[in-house]
Amino acid sequence: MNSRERVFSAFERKGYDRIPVKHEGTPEINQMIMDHFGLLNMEQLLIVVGDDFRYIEPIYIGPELRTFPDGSIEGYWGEHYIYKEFGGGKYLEASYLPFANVFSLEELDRSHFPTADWFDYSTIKVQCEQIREKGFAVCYGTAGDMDFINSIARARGTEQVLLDLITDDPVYIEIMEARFKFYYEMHERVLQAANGLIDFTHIGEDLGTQTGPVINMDIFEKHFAPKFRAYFEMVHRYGAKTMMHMCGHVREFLSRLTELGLDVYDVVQPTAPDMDISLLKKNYGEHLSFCGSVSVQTTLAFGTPKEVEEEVKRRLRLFPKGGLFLGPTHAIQVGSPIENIIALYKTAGSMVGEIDDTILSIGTKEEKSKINMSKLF
Amino acid sequence: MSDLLEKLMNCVELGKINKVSSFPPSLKGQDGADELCKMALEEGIKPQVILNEALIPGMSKIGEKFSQGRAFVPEMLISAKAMTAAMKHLKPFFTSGEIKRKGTFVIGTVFGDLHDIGKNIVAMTIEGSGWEVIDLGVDVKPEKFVETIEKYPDCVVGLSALLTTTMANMEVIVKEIKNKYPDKLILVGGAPLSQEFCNKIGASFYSPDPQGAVEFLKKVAA
Repeated sequence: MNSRERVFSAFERKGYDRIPVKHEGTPEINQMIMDHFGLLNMEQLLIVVGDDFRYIEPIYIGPELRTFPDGSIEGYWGEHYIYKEFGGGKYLEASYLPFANVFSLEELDRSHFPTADWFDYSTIKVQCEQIREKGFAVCYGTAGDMDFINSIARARGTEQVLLDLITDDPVYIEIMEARFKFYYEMHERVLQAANGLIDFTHIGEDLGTQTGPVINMDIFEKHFAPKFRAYFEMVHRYGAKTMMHMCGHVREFLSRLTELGLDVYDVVQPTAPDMDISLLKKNYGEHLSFCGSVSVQTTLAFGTPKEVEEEVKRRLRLFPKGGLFLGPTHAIQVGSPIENIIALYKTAGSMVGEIDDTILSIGTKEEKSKINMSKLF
Repeated sequence: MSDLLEKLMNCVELGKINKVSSFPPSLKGQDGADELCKMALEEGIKPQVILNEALIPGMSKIGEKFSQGRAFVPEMLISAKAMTAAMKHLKPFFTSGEIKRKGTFVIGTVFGDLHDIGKNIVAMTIEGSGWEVIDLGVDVKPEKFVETIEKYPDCVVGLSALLTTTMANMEVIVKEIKNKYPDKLILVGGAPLSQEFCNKIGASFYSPDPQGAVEFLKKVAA
């Protein structure tokens, strides 16, 4: 089985030679893995851990995204980000929020709303063909695509966005509609350019907190469900499957999202209340596949390799025929021991036995400063 | 309880800030917490009674709904806004000493961590339960906590962290505080935390939700 065959066989619950795997790590963790194994770039890393998925990207040709004297960089919506150190690593945090304190449509500056025209799609098909040729499943998108709560909060403020959702604030609704249109059109153009070669599209919406849903079902139905339905239907028309990243406790939304057309629920945080992976499988696993589920907040960060091994083995027992693409519950966080990461992929059976020249000769040394502006989740 | 106080309590629970606010739709065009608190004072209702019998119970009701999964973060936030709109009329009575608070709660997100939504919700909920809240913001160093405790020696302290990497900084802060104030009550919370971690770093109390902290503080104030 190559990666793509493995992924689809597991997706259809027809079994697999080893469980499909999808890796996610912070830049610091990826660097740690590369240093540990003497790897030069992310592609080598993905091969070593046995990641079965590869992503394609259109080329950005829109207005220049500026860098400012304080080191901050501009996002698609005119917001700024700056790296903040947190001891052991750094995160890009919003430093200028253009839609904060905008309370009327007259005040809303739409001049920096991005459009699908800001991207060149001419290389999409070739990218897909190259990935297919290597035998991987082809993905497009990120957890930050759509993402109407978290990502708009980076340009308007989290508290304001949460209040907007309950008060139906027209400024927020307009930004949300513009964001939906931008990602819908961009994803559709990518799917058209790929001509049937994309297997999964990826979006995100952080609908859960550590203990419960962020919003009530009425708000979900009013503002989110129609958009997700339209998007999922569009993706299915091009023959691709839908994948959606959601952190936290999101159990209340799963049945409805499946009805709307979600195929794969990405990351799965089983340590949130009533979110154990066996419970999710029992209640939703017939029509919904899962991705992730090995805890970055507990086991991978603070557990022992033996505990990681047990967590993985339990999942192998629960999903003997498929239904789970194994991986971390989010990007593996700084401070997680390399031994735990190795235990994750070794127990999954995805880790390569020997790193030889066929792997070490792939690609060149990675340019570390490259930032994907869609991937700020 | 007077009708006015009951209406005020409902406005806080339901998040009706003032007359012009359109939320909740069922109270559109009606007076909100802002107007009703002003009216209550004009009617001669004692500020302490307004706080104890309308504002605190209103916040307590929404807090309970939140911890039972019947209300969500936006509902908590808008209730806190309504409470704040009412509290502005009570401010002079806090300054004059006519209204007594249950105590002082010093809260901050630990150094290295810039996330504040969880910390803010806890701060609002605790303020809504009748405590004075000193919010030190985000990325707060141990010395800032110690300095603030010097100013408010009877305070209870709350530490927040979102990341697995920064929760370790809680241990440093707890140690520094306990060095100088061995009996200081320190509450900890945040996404990756657990009771086990709370015990390990020597903090006094952990709760996965804000209402747990409110209940703990109730016992402290009793």
